[in-house]
Amino acid sequence: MTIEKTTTGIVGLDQISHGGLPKGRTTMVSGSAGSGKTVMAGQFLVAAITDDDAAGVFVTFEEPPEDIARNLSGFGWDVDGWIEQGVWTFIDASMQTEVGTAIVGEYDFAALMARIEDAVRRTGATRIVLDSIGAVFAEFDDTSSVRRELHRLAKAIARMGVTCMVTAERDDEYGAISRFGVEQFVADDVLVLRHVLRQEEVRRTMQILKFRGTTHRKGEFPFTIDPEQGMVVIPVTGQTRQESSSTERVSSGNPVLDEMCGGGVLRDSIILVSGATGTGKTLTATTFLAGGVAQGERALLFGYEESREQMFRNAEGWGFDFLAAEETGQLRVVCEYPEVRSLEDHLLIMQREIDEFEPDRVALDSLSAMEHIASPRAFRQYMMGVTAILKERQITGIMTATTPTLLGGDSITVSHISTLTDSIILLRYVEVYGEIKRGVTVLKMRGSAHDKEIREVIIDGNGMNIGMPFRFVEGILGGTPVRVGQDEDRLRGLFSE
Amino acid sequence: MTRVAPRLRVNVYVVGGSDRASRAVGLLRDAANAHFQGEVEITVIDVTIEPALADDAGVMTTPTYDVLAPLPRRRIIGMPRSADALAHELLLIPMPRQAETGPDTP
Repeated sequence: MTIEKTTTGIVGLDQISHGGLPKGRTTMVSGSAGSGKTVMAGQFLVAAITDDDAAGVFVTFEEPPEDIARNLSGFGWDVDGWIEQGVWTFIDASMQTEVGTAIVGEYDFAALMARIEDAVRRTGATRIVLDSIGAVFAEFDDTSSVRRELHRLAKAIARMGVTCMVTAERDDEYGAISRFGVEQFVADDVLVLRHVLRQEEVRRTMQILKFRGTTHRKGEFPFTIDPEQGMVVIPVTGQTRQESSSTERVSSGNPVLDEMCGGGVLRDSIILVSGATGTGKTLTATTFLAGGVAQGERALLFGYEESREQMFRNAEGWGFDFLAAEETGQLRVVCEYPEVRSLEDHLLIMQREIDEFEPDRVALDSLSAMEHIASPRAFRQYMMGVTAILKERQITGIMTATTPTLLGGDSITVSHISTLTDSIILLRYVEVYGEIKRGVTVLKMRGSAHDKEIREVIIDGNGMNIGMPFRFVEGILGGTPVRVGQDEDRLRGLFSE
Repeated sequence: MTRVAPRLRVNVYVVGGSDRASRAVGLLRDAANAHFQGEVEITVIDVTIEPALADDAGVMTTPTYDVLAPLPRRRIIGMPRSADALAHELLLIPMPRQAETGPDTP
């Protein structure tokens, strides 16, 4: 028997839950304060109205209904309008503080149950949300009675045939599932929201802990709370890897670099440009975008290190007219400082910009700027998200990464993400005869033969000029170039390909 | 000097027709007769018949005594141990130690 599921209205959650929350059952959402429980509960009800064309009941134990309606309206949900239409019902079970209460004996929640039943019957609601159960325990200190009553409430709700979401507090991000251990007697299904401060960065994740009798994806998935879409889960590793691999080649914008890559870069490949500061990474990305524009393609640039003005001035200095390209609608430049939002939010904005602009190629300058604001794990998930977005849409992508040392050396960024990229272009400083020169080489190119020589790069008003390979020098990649004799030529012949 | 008993006004929320309902209302009537000389106004609300009234008042539990008078306005939740105990709550007088264990004498 398969268990029917009901859409959550939360982007990405339906994917990791294999279709949504089990229909007609109670799912508990547990999370510490500020983890996004109320937003999630609200969004789940919104889906009852917008997706199911039905109604929902919001039982609040904690915040007054007016506050919740106001907070949710910030996401563009017209809760007040829905209340008027009779499709959204609040049941205020937040205990009014202005009236004192004394508990003198045994009690039950029959009044609350009657109110919920009445609301469901009256409006034809298909979903109920209880937010949040911990507040009930705070109000009634007799834990065992509250437990018994909540259990009865959950059973009564199950009999009504509605799908229910219950939120609960937890104290410890990785400890007991919920305070008071309510989960085992109110819910069949448990979902955990976390927000963990690690390395000065707040990371929100969601994990489906159990779905009785049905499948779901395992592990923690990052999510964000977006002012337009509400909660958005990023199903990172789960993105479809069924992208067809293209053998079509496109120009990198530089004819010599194209040659080095065996006739251009592959259409749906992701290229990583790695190098020390000033070696020409931004130039390579700019050249790549300009090359696309020259062929009538649409190009999108995400700049995370420099301002728009700087980007445009750089491009102008290399002989590219970004302003004109933007006017024709072939180019879009999005500049943001990495610190202004979390990686998940950056990812979301990137996806939105890409879907709106529909570019053929995308440049990201630079990944190192992004890496600085996140933990390695979060950064890797971000990278997987980026590559999935680009691959799904068959977009050619170029990303830059800065190496920490001037000569040679590998960056952490590169070692973390090299497996996710199809091609790696290295830019290096080379010291020969007491002079600093720039070198370029294609280190890796998936699915194609490529030039393995290290060539000299000269940057001038025409942009990037790739010249002859460095001869009689070795150890460039290691950062300690050494002059070698003419015999080197003979050796090369021995290992020619 | 004649002492004027405070007027008692209470809305009591119960599940109609249950034993607990009749006990909850009975205790209130006993307390009212003993301490308020019958100068009382008791409204019994069956939450299963009039859930809207419970909703308006924000009542979750049964039995709930919503005390409108004497002031201050407050709520007494749960089944009182005795009419006497309920009366003490209504009058906001702490129960004497002995009375808690002693016989139920109004």
